[in-house]
Amino acid sequence: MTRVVTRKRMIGLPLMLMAIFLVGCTGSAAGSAGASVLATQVNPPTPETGSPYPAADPAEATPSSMPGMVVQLSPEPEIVHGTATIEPAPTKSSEPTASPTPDTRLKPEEWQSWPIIPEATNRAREIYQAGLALGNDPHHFSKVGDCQSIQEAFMGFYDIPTRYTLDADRQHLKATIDQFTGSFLRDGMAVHGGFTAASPLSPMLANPDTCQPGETPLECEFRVHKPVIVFIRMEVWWEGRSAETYERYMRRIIDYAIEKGAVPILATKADNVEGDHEINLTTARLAYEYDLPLWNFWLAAQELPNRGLRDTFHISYEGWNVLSYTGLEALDSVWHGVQQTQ
Amino acid sequence: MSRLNPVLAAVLFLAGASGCSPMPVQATTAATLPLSTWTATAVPTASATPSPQPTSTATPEPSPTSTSTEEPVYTPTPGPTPLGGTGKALFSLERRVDEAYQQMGVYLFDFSLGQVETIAGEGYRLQDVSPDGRYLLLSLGSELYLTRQDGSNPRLVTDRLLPYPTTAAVWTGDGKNLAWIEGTGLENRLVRCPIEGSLPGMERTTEVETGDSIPVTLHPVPGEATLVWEYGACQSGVCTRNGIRVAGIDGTLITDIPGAHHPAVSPSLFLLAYIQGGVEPQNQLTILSLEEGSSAYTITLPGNHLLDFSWSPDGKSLAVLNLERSDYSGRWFDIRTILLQAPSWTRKELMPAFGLNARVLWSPDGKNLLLSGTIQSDTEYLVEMAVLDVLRNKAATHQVPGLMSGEEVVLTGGLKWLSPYPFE
Repeated sequence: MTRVVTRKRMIGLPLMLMAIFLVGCTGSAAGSAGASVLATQVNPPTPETGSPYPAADPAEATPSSMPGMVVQLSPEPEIVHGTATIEPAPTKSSEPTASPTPDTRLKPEEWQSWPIIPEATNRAREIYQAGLALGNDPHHFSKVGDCQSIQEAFMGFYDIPTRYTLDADRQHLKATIDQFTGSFLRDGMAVHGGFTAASPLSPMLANPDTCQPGETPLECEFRVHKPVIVFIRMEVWWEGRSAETYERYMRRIIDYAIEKGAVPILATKADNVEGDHEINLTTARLAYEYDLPLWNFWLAAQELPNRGLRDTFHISYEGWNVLSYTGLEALDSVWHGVQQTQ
Repeated sequence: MSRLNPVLAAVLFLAGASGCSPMPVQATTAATLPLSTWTATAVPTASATPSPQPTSTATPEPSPTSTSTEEPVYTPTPGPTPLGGTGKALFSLERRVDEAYQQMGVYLFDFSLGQVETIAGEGYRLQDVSPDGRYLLLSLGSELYLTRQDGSNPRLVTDRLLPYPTTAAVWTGDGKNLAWIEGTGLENRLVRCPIEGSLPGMERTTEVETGDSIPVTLHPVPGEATLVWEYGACQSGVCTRNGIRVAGIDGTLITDIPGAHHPAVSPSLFLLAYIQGGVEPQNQLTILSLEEGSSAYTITLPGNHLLDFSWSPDGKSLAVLNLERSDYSGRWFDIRTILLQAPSWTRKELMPAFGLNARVLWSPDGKNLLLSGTIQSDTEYLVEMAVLDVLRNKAATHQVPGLMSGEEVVLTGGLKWLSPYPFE
């Protein structure tokens, strides 16, 4: 029962969580100084003193740098709309398979042909209305994800009006930016480098300054931010991880988001580290089963050099622009869609 | 089980709503505080069905001390908690279920025997221990009870206690008053009740002036008739804290520190340690003398999340737990145990603490630190405690037997290091 300890102890963690850090989002050892290293690597000296972001010059980005901020100057709308010809048909039931209406949606196995920008489903509308009734803030969205979802990489600059411009035919997106001001330049409690689908569910990874004792990062984020929409993008892969494990934890995250009245936006990833696109297929299956919006970023990345990657996993500098822009369009589409009557 | 003296019950009844105990009928019910003992082989498990009584194979017979007909007429013992570490910790446990905290009871852990004794069963939470260590304040939802150290002879003090998982009731350091927070979360008020030489419930409560601050958590002040509370608001099971207020027992304001949290007052030097909120990272500890005209002293410590701190009994050392956590990955590294020694606040690093909800507490004799935290195995969460010899920097660790929780997180609530037990 009692043992004398004379050596330094380690905090006990389950094997599952140990595995999280074997291969972090960086692809290298993620140390406690990760954040500061990131800042110094990504952000070279910029002419804009005090700005958290570097100048919008891709030439300044080093190939080895972590995902940095790219200013969205001129998005490429032709990429955004993809090649899909069949839109998912919303059903009137929360159980898609029980709908008397013929299900004309593309099957999960055809996920590569799903449109880049999703539309709100009837299920999403139900969740949104439930969230409003629960007191969620209609001006808030959240992110649940890894290093590819941190504010420097994903949409953060939409909270800095001087750091982006919208083309004339994209001005409608301004309303969405205005609606969710404050949520873009924010990581929240459920985004960290190296996070896998299990991570947001572990109280051992919560921020003790903000989160309650025993609270998970996911619970903490929903409590403090009360989002109506949540991006869920868990992309980190390590050797031995299975799609089944990914699916099991993703279900818990999705179920929780729905219970809390936040519309999940799932996303495909640009990489195929696992070799057979099993993770994207699983994500599509979940979106299909739950009748949730799926933002097909994989498709958007296909037209980019090296399919939007700078190595086997990390999204390239060019990819960040497309990631943020298509993410904004997905948010815009879903947000407008969930407000429409069924 | 009830041992409430009928005469006393009548007096309590007459005291009525204006007294500390507005519902004397409840006092009779309170006398059914479960009492039992167990060993590591006879303890509840996560699969056990929740029961209002502690799940134990032991027959819930009254403990030997509870057979006494003596009523717990409280008489304060001068001075601080008697010195002499005992190897026994009194603590309450709570389990996080469905984003709420279920109180699992109040327990006494004998480190040397590895045994846990139930002081009060499910639903009860430890609020405070009298300065002489002889009596306890336990809460059950919005009810506050005064009991002996072994949980016997419970007396209802109030049924209006703030029903949140927080410290809402304390003994004043001079032992002469109880103070507690009444309310439901948003409209709380702070009250006190003289207790010296009499039963609580016999005296009238007095509301303490709190200004525009809504008290949400009280903090004991060793040796002093001073009240320290954090203010904010409690809603949906969570209390937010917006600042610290220190006042005399009559409510006379001593200091108000907006944005600060985690106050701890030293036993003899009247120093207030706290964390100033809104500063990133949260690794700056501020120490403020509560003597008039003093200025605050800020110490930046290695690590980035101050978790807990505790003053030594002589008030000259402050043990601090500071988590090193990666802001990038969220990963927790060491929880550093740092000893700061007055007056120059020289720093000495001890063995690291551990786990979720890491806590530190000085032993009454000033020789040891009690460290507690929740660790996670492959299958469950469990509470672990360690007694750290400060001089030798060696620790003996103890897993609290039988209090594992399966997939649910179990945490220590109130935590006190007791003077010799049984006391007498």
